[in-house]
Amino acid sequence: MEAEQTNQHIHDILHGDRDSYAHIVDAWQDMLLVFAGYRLVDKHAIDEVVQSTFIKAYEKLSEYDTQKNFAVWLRTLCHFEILTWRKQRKRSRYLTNIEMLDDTFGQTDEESDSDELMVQNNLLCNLDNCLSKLPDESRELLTRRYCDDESIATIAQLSDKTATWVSTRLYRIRKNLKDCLESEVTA
Amino acid sequence: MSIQQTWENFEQWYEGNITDSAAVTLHSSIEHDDKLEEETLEALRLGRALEQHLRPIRPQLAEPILVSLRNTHERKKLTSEVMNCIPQVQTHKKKNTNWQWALVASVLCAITLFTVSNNKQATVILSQGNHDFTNGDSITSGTIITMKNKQRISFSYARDSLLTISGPAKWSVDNGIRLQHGQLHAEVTEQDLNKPLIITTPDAQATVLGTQFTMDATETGTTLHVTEGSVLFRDFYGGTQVVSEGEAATTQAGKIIYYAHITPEHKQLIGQQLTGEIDIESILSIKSNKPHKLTHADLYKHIYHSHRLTNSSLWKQPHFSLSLSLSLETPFVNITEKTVCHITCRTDGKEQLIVALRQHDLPLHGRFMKTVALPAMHQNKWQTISFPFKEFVRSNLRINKDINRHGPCSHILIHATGNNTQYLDIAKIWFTE
Repeated sequence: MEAEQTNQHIHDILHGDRDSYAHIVDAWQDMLLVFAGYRLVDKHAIDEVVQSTFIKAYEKLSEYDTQKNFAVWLRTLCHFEILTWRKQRKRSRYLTNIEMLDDTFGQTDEESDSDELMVQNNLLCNLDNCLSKLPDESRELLTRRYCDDESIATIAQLSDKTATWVSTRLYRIRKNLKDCLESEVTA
Repeated sequence: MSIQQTWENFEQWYEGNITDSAAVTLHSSIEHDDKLEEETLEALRLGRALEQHLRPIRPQLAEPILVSLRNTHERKKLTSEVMNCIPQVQTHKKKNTNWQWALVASVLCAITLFTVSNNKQATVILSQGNHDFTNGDSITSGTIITMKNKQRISFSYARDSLLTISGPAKWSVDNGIRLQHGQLHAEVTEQDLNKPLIITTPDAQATVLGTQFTMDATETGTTLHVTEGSVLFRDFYGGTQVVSEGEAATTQAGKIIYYAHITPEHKQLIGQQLTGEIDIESILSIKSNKPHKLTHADLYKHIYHSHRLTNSSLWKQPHFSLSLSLSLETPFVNITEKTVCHITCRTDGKEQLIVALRQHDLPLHGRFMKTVALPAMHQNKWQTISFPFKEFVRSNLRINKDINRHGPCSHILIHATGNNTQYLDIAKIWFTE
C-alpha cells in the first residue's frame, strides 16, 4: 500500500470511519506475520501477537507521524508486543526437557534481535526473490515442509530417502536461502 | 552426536514430535556449541518465517480485530449511559470510595432501575401449544406462567418490544420479566434511559436499553447471548459486566464466569435456535456450490454444550476429552488431496484436535482423520485454523482401500483432548478446494 493511501485511511479512521482499519490490516498483516514468525519460537503465538499489534496500533493511531514509514512503526509496535508476550510466558510453570529446549531457543532469540530490527526487516523483504532463485527441487521440499506441514518421516517415506537425508537437505537449503537473503541486503 | 543426527533431532523438535531423551541430547549439544546454537536458531527463525510466507490460506485478521474494537467501544458507551441514568449513585460514588458504599450504591441502582420500569403492559401476540392464552390476551402482572416443552409465547411489552419465551419455562411479568427457568429471546425497542427493561433470573439480572439477545435460565446458571446492541449483566453478588453485540456471558454459582465475543455465525444460530431450525448454509460454506442441509444435527447445541462444560465437574479433572459430532443428511464434501479444512474455534487449553471425516456408508474406520495441534488458543480468542488433507488422504488410501479417493463424506467428527482445559468452542467449519 502506498504511503499516500495509508495516510488517507488513517485520516478516515481518525475521523470516525473505524471500518477503514480493515484496509490497513489487510495491507500489512502478511508483513507482520512474517516479521513475528521470524521472532517467535512458539508458532502458535504468531497470529495472536499480530492481532494484538493491530489493536495497539489502532489505539495509538493518533500518535503516528504520517511523515514517517508506517511499516517501520507497525514493526516497532509488533516488536514490543513480542517482548510483552515473552514476559507473560516467562511467568510460568515447571519445564519438561522439551520445554527447556523451547526456552533455550526463546532466550537466545530474545538476546539477539533487539538491535537488528531494521536489518532483519530488509532481509525478509527479499524472501520471495530468494525463493525464486532456489532450484525447483529445493523449493518443493520447502513447500512440503513449511506450507503443507509434512513431517520429516512422511517426506522421507514418500521420496524414498532417510529422515537424516531430508533433515540435512533442509539444513543446506535454508543455509543457501539465508546466504541469498544476506547478499541481497548487501547488494 | 553427529551433525546429521543433531539436525534430525532439531526437525523432530520443530514438528513437536521429539522424545524426551532426544530433547536432552539436542539441548546439551546446543548448549556446548555456540555456532550450532546460532545455526539452529536461524533454522528455527527461517522456518517460522517461511511457514508464514508460504501459508496456504491467508488468515483473515481484519474481521476479529474490528469486532474487538467495536465491542470495546460499545462497552464504554453503554457503561457511561447506564451510569448517567442514575445520578444519585454517582453522587454516592464521588463522596465515598469505600467498597461498602459502592455495594450500597449498586443495590440502590438495582432498586431504582426496578422501580422505574413499572407500568408496562404485556400483550400476547402469538401463543403456540398453550391453550391458556390466545392472541391479544393481557398477561396479568405477578401471575406465574408455567410452560411445557414445545410451548411458546410471544408478547409485546415495554414500548412494543417483542419477547418470546420457549418452554419448558416458568416465568412472570412483574416490573420487568422474572424468568425462573426457560429461554427468552428479546428484541427490545429503544427504552427510556430512566426506565430500562429488567429481566431477572434466580442468579442474574439483565438491564436493557434497546437490543436483541437471548437469555437462558437453568438450574446451573444463566446464559446471555447478545446479538445486537448491549446489555448490562449483573450477577447474584452484584458483579456486573456489559455484554455487547456478538458476546456472551454465563453465570456459575451466582457469579459471572464467562465472557467473550462470539462470531456472526454463532449469532445467527442463536436466533434460529428458537424456531427449531438451523440453516447449515450459515455455518458450512462449500465451494462446490452443491446443496447441503443440516438435518438432525444441531450445531448450536454442540456449541452450547461446550459452553456448558464450564459448569461441569469435568473441567476440574487434570485431563478431559470432549467430542463433538455433526451428522449431515446428504454427502456434503468431496475430500481430495487439495481439500483444506478450516475450523474457527476457541479454547483455553493447548490441545490436540482430531478431525475425522467419515465417508458415506462406511464404518468408523473408513474415514479420513487428521490430528492437529490447536494454535494459540490459551488466550480464549477465536481463531481459524486451516489444514490441508493432502498428507493423510495419501496415507489413509494406503491403509484403507475402501476409501474412495474423491469420496463424499457424510459425517464430521471432532474430538479434542487437553490438560486443565475448561472448554472448547467451535463456531464454524468449512472446506475449500
